[in-house]
Amino acid sequence: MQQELKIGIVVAVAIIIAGIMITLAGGRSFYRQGYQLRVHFDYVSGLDIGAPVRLAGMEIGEVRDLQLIGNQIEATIWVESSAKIHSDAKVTINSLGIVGEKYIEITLGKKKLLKNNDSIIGENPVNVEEVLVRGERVVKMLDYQVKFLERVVFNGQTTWEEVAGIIYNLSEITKDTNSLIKNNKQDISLSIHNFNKLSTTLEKTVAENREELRNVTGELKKATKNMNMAILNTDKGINKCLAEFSTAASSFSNVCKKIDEGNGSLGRIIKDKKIADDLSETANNLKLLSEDLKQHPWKIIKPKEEKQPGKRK
Amino acid sequence: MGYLVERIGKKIIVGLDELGRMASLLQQIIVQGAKKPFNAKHFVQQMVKIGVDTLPIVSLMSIFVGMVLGYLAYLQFKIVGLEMYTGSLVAASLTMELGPVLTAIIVSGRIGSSTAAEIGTMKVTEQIDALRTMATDPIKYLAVPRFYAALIMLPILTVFADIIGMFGGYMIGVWKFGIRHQIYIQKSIDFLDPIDIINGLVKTIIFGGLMITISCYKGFTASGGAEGVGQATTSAVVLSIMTVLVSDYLLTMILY
Repeated sequence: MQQELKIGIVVAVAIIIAGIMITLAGGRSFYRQGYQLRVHFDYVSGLDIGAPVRLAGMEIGEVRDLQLIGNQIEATIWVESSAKIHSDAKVTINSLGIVGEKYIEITLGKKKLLKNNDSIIGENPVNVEEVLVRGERVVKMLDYQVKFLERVVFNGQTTWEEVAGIIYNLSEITKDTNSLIKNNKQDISLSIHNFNKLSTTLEKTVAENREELRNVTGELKKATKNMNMAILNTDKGINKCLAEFSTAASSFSNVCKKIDEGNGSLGRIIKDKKIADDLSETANNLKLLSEDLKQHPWKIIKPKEEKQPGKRK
Repeated sequence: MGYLVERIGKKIIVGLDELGRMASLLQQIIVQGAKKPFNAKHFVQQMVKIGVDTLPIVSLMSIFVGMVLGYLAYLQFKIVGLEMYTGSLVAASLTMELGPVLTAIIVSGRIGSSTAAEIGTMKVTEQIDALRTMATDPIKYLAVPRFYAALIMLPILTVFADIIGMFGGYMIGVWKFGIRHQIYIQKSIDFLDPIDIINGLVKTIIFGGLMITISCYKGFTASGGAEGVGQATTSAVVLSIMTVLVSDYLLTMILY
């Protein structure tokens, strides 16, 4: 009898352990109640059957089936009945790390609740390859920008320390300005106040003397008009004068031309060499005559005395 | 040269002959086992021997195997930062492979040897002939109770080996390396599949049947006094373990 008891104990314990292990390994679905939902994706990024489903980060179920339906993929997910999924929830495929296990993430919603076998449209996951390509492009652009900045700022001489110094100085200036404003806050506010007061006074003055101001403005307007007219008239006179001047200038030009061509007495004098020589001789003679006259003025008074020198001879 | 070919041929023929005899012994065991009356007393005795008495050594083996697995798995997973999967690896490898195979090997060593020795001694001392003269079928009297006891007790032992081995892994993972208790348990359960556990148990049933058949065959064919019994025992254990490992591969291919 004792032998049978031993066997009985061992077998019973083994069956209990096996039962517990198999039940636990089977997952929650064995003893937990739940419902199924159908999620439609364009791209599932390697999602597997049995992948976990999370609602706001908490595990609530698993992927039961994946099927191609038309040009979409339908993922059937099993969810615990305690998990309430709303029709406006966002369904995405995430992964634990870059190469980690894929899972379905569902956000909380507000609109109407989804029931068993309802379908919902999932958001397509980010393609890691695409992100990497885009990242590379961004890095290249950044590299270019930094190089450009280096070229512009440093120009071969400036160093980062100097740039840092500039920034430091700027910050100091800002600080000083700040403290200046802070220290003279009262003065500044007083100034502003005064300015305010001034402008109100001005406004008041303007309001009080509005009529007079209007008169002044009217007079000013009139004066401007008159001035305008005067300028216009003067303008006319000047125009006339200019026209006359122009006529005179053209006449003069004609005369000059004629002289140049050798027409008329003047022209002939200028152009003919012989006449010019004669004229020069005449001029010489006249000079001699005038000198003679200067020395012997009496020759004018007594023209007949011309004979006297002869007598002397 | 001709001598070598002759020897190889002889070995093959002997091997095939033995295989055929073992197969016919297995068939006889099944046929005799189906017949009434059933020897309950012997059956219970063998269940105690195979199951209850082997349990301590199986437990000791599996707890150390679990600890070693947990230790090595942790060190390897730590490199890639997946320490929390230590429990998953321990649980999966124990239920799918190590639990069934190591239990079958231990039972082969312990029970296969004693079976071959007992039956071989009876054969050498002509007790088996005595049984025949008393109109008792030696196969039904000696082999059938052991066979059924092995079929039932090996899965039972394997269940213990699985759970105790997982506990060994838990001790290392949680108590030594400080993985969080809930995470360890959760990850172990996550990677356990009921089909895997059941397949592991099915494997051990087949291991048990093969192991007992081989041991009984070696015992029944023992000859030549004490030395012959010794030889029969040795070859029973070696052949049982080899059969367990080879059939494990084939069964894995079939079941998974």
